[in-house]
Order: sequence, then structure tokens, then C-alpha cells
Amino acid sequence: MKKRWKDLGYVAVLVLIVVPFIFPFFWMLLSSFKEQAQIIATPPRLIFTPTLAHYKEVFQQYAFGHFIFNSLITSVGATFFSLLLGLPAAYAIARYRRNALALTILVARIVPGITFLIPWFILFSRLHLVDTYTSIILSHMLVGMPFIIWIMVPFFEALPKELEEASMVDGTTRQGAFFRILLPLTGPGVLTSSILSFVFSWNNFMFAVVLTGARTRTLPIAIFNFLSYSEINWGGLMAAAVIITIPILVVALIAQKYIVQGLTAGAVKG
Amino acid sequence: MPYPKVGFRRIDWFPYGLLAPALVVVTGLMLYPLLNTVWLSFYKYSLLDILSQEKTWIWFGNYLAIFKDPFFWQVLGNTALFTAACVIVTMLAGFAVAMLLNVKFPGRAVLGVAVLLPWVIPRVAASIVWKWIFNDQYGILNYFLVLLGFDQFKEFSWLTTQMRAFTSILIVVVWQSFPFVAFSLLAGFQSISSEIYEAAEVDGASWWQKLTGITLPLLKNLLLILFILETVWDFKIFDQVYVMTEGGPAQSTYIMGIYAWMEAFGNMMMGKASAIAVIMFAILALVTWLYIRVLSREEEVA
Repeated sequence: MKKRWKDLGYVAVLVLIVVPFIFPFFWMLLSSFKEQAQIIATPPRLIFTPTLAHYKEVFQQYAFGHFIFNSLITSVGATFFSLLLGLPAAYAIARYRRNALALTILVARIVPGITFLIPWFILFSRLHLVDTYTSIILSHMLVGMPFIIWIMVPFFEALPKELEEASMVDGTTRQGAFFRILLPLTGPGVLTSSILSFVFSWNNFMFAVVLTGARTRTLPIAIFNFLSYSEINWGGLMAAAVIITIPILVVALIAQKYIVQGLTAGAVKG
Repeated sequence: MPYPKVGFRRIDWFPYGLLAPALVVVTGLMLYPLLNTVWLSFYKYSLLDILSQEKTWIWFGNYLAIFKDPFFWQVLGNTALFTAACVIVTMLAGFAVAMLLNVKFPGRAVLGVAVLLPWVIPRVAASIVWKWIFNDQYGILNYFLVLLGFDQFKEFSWLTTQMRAFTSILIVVVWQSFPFVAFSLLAGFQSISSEIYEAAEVDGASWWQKLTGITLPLLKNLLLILFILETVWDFKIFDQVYVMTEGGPAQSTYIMGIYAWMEAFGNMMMGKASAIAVIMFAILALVTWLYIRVLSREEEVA
């Protein structure tokens, strides 16, 4: 009997805590389906006839389809190239202890973004690379690649060296051993770091605001611009916020375990 | 493996081959820009100079001008205070939620997901949603506060004075950053063997004694690392402030990140902005140095 009260107490605390965390999502979703009259109604309406007008507006008037495409290209591209370069590097650091690079990677996570952004902007302007996928993907790799290496080094370290040696005795080359034996075994690590790299890139604002233009503008910049020219169109803004948030929420719900793993790897593992 | 019969020690190129591509990108995208920013900080380099491709070497002119400017000290002070407030509230909230997540009870999984969500959503989206919640006339927050009997919040504008704007931004920043602390601490809690607690319970230790006698001392290093990481991240915050106030009203919510950004891409004073970026970097390098020292000491102990 006492245990039940205790459980009930926890559930009560849970509700008290969860509601403020979740409420902004709930309110965003609700507001995005309201007509302007309902949005500014006092008291706020919980029951109303939902409208898709704001979503139509966001896609037709503000071309969000194009920005979704840009965001996808950028995030997938940055994650792909980060993996391509980061996985071998992580393996080398784990196996051959090249600690200098590990330190560099720590620095990359700590230096303020503006320190990179000024030279990038000048350099990319000279090379006419501002507003191209190249510059935005390169800039996002600076966030993604160090993170991938950071997470993957302990995964490679955990694999016994005998594994590669055995496969090499069997006639596989070192490259073959890396791709066919080691990578599949570190699958969860690859998944964790790719998901986080994707999330970082999808959410990045500061680099994209300077390095993208009309052609390559990503979702965070599109929604920010939307805010600056129509501050009062809260329904439209909430629809845009839903659009940028939904893919990330879906990823978070499906891959919750991996995200938490990657997130704690940053601190607990050092 | 057969070694070639040469007089020299064979150099194993394989690890370098694996590292090279990453190293090229790190050098080109990170080390070069870092050095370049330091170098630019010694120049007078404005938008006009970019167009004419000319810049003037002025030694420490940018730094002197910045240090003489009372506005810089005001921004630095605001940033330090704001960072401290964010870190303290984030750590406390994270600690409390981690303790809650560590207890087995029905619905814990739901809480796990709920806690993760604020961390993953784009900062721009979070800032805009909160801006709507904080809206003076139609915002749901003021509506609730008035409903609870706080009549002074009728049409209360959350973003129009320095103190209020900083408070609002703090709420958004903490909302998005406590999950990291909570999950890291939860992993830390779970690394402590339950036998230690059971032994303490046998000895009649109270909840508070277990916390201060076992949990906190065992997690000291982790707490310190989280403290430093949060300090670094909160110090260089940009997105939330830029979206919610753009440093306003009247530059009162300028923090270092915004200050450097506005000089660079608002006023196009690249030299001065570089100097501010270098100052930020120097401050953060100091904190990072602490971080590495703590880590290396932890490894020595282990």
C-alpha cells in the first residue's frame, strides 16, 4: 500500500516536470493549426476546427519545399563526408595513439564558431563559394567530423587487436579488415555518431546564416527570415517551426537510445 | 609480417594514410582559420578594405580600442553573469531530473523521451516557439500567470528590458541544455554500484547523507567536467539571443557572441571582430586548459 502511494507521488512529480518540457511542443503544434482569429483569442482555445492554411502558406508562399531539400542535402552531405574522413581517422587514433589529433578535435568543439566564420567568409567569398553546397557542407563538417571521431575512438579501442590480425593471417588486407570486419562490429557507434552529426547539421544556424544565400538557404535561416519579415504571423511561424522540428523529433523518438549514448559519451567518457 | 631487408627502420605509413584526409580538412577548416583570425586581428580591415583588397597593419590597435571601450567591459560583464546564471540553473535542473530518472517508477520511459526532446530541437525553432509563448498580448505564459492571480502579468512584455530579456533567454537556454547534464549525470549515477548504497542504508544513512557522502564525492570529476563544458557552451551562446532579441533592446542583451558577430557581419569591421573572437578564444582556452588538467588528473587516479 505504501509503495503505491510512493509510485503515485512519483507520477505526480513526473507530470509536474514533464508538462513544462513538453508544453512548448504541444503549443507549437496546436498554434500551427489555428486560424489567426483563434490564435489571438482570449482565453486561448483548446478546441477548434483545425486548418492547414498556414502549412499551405509556408510551402506555397515561402517555398519551404526548397529549403527542406537544401537542409537535407547539407545534413546528409556533411554527415556522409564526415564519416568518410572521420572513421579511418578514429581508427588510426584508437590503434596507433595519435593523440595530437585528439587534442585538436577537442579544440574544435570548444572554439567559438565566430573565430572560424570570419576567415571562412573572406576565403569563401574570394573563391566565389558563398551560397554553394560546398561551403556549407564543409563548414558543417567541422562540427560533425570531430564529433564522429570523438565517439568512434572508444568503439575502435574496445575491439581486440587479434581480430584484425586473425583476418590478415587469413589473407585479408588491412584495408579489407577495416571495412569488412571492424566497421560492421562498430555499427552502433557509427549509427550514434551519424545521427548526432545529422542533428547538429540540421539545427545549425550560425554558419548557415553567413554562408548560404538564396540558392542554398537551409531551414533554420528560412524560418529566421520568416520571423524578421512577419513577426505577427504566429500561425505561419509555428507551422514553419513544426516543419523544421518534425524530422528531428522522429529521429529522436526512433533512435532515442543511440542519441542518449552519444550525448553522454561527450562527458562521461571524457 | 616480413620486413623488407633495408638498413632503415621501416616506417609504417598506414596510420598516416588513414589520418591524412581528416588532417587536411582539420588543417584547412580549423587551424588555418584560427591562425588567420589571430593575424586579421592586427589589421584595420573593414568592408571598404575588403572591396579594395587593402588592409592596414595596426599592431594592437584593435585590442587597445576594444579594451578602452566601456561597452566591451559591459558586454563581457553581462556575458559572465549570464553564463554563470545559465550554468548554475542548468546544473541544478539537470541534477534534479537525473535523480528522478534514476528511480524506478511507472512512466520513467516517458520522462526519458520528454527530457530528450528539448535538446534535439533546433535552437532557432525553440527560440521562436518561446517567443510566441512569451508574447505580451497573446502569449500563453502571461495568460496562465494572470489566471493564477498574478495580475501584474497582464500584457507583461518579456523582452523589453534588459533583466526581463535575459531572464527569458535564460529560460530557453536552460530548457535546451539541461537534458545533456541530466543524461550525463544519470550515466554517472548508474556507474555507482548499488552495494555501496545498500551498505550505507544498513548503517542507517539518510537520503541526504547518501547524497553528500557517496554520490557527490564519487561524481566529483564528472560534475566538474559538466560544469566546465556548460560554461564553455553558454559563454559562446549566439542563436537564442540572436533570434529572440538580436542583442536588443538598445544593445542591452549583447553578449560576446553577438558582439563579435555584429562587428563582423553587421558593421563589417573584420579586424575588430577578429580581435573580439581572439579574446573569446583566449578566455575559453583557459577554461579548456582546466578541463584537460582535470581529465589528466582523473586518468592518473584511475
